[in-house]
Amino acid sequence: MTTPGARRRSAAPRAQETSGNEGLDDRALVARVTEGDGGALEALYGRYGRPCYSLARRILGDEQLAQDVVQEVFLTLWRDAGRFDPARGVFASWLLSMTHHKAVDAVRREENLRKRRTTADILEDKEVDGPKVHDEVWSTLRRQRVREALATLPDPQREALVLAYFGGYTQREIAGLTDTPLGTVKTRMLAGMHRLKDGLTGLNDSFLDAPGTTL
Amino acid sequence: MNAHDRYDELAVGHALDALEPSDEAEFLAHLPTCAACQTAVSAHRDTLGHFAYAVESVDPPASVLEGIRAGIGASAFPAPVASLADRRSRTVKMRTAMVGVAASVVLVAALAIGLVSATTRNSELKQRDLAFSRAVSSLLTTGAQRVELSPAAGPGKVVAVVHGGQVDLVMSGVPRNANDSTYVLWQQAAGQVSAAGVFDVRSTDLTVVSTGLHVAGADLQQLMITRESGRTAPPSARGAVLYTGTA
Repeated sequence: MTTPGARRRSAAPRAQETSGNEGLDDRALVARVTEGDGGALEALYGRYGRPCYSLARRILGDEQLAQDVVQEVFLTLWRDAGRFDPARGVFASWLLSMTHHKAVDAVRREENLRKRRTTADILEDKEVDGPKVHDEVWSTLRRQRVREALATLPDPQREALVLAYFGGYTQREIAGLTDTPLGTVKTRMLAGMHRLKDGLTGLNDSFLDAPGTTL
Repeated sequence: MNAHDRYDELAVGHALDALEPSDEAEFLAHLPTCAACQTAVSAHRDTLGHFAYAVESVDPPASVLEGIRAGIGASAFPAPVASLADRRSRTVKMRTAMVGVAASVVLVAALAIGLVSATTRNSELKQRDLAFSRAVSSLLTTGAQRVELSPAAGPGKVVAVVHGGQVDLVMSGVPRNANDSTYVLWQQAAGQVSAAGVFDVRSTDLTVVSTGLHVAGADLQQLMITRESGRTAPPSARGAVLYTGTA
């Protein structure tokens, strides 16, 4: 559990939104990145570096590997921002999806990492004692909404989704871990995802892709 | 269960990065042809994006941003190498910088030395080869497999870097495809040939395709490239095999 003091000591200097990037929405910043604007990339890092790192850290359980993943994500964005297609969803989802993909790749490469983490570790839902400054309050509200939505899922559905998303397990591996037929795992994931989507209705507009969001 | 229900399940597994390689290949072949699945994947990713906010929120250490800055700096060298390559190749060098600030500084120095040397020789061909080699090297992370694809009926050269079921293609001198056609990467695995993905070539200079190509990792036997009419992969190759290589 991170204490507020430790959190402040380890905190990175935030990338500043400068060079005319203030107030631009994500799509406009991505457009600037495609033109080689490093300031725009830093602005996007300032908005999404923390959730990307938090996600990678949760999946990998290893801070160094999580740092490598986040660096790779943003350098991939720099290299080929044109891969983001606004017609196919919001930027935050796309970026976090890329973070997830790279973190899962890493966790599968580092099999010993996963062996050290038990299924219980992956399913554990830690509470966080963080400083309740303004942006922390927003983060806490987000966490609460997502956790509440997860809590409404039947246990087998939640287990399947969490093992896949945070554990990096494939459907077949989850079937083996939970001693459940593969077809049942697939069905649970689909049902759980639909229920989760319903539970998070309305969250997208306010929590994802918000212009100028400070995270 | 109707015919599309299976793809509904695969869409969730795909968004979760939880499909087995064979299911992933099947879904990736289906995805470009199905608007419903494209919408579903996008919606699932939006939903899963919220998961990132359910975990303990921790600031990344300063070294991450410093490494990113170093990576950007490593790409800031102008001509001659950068002028040879398209935008993708310019940034491919950045992957090397991911290993950290110190490595990035070494990379910058190496690039600078390389540029001076190349300029002195004034050999564009050598610079092209150098840029090509660097692009391939930067993609060869631990566990990655290099597959050389020899030209069977096409000019230029192609190297595939396979890592964790994903494929990056580094190409030089490969002709652009028309807007009503596409290149298709085919894989032979366990005796079966299937499309690993489609891609466009928009420049005959150094080009890297680093998205949308997936193969069956351990069982991969051979890779082939054809150019096909239309914007999606046909069920089987119709065009001539342009490049081929054994894994």
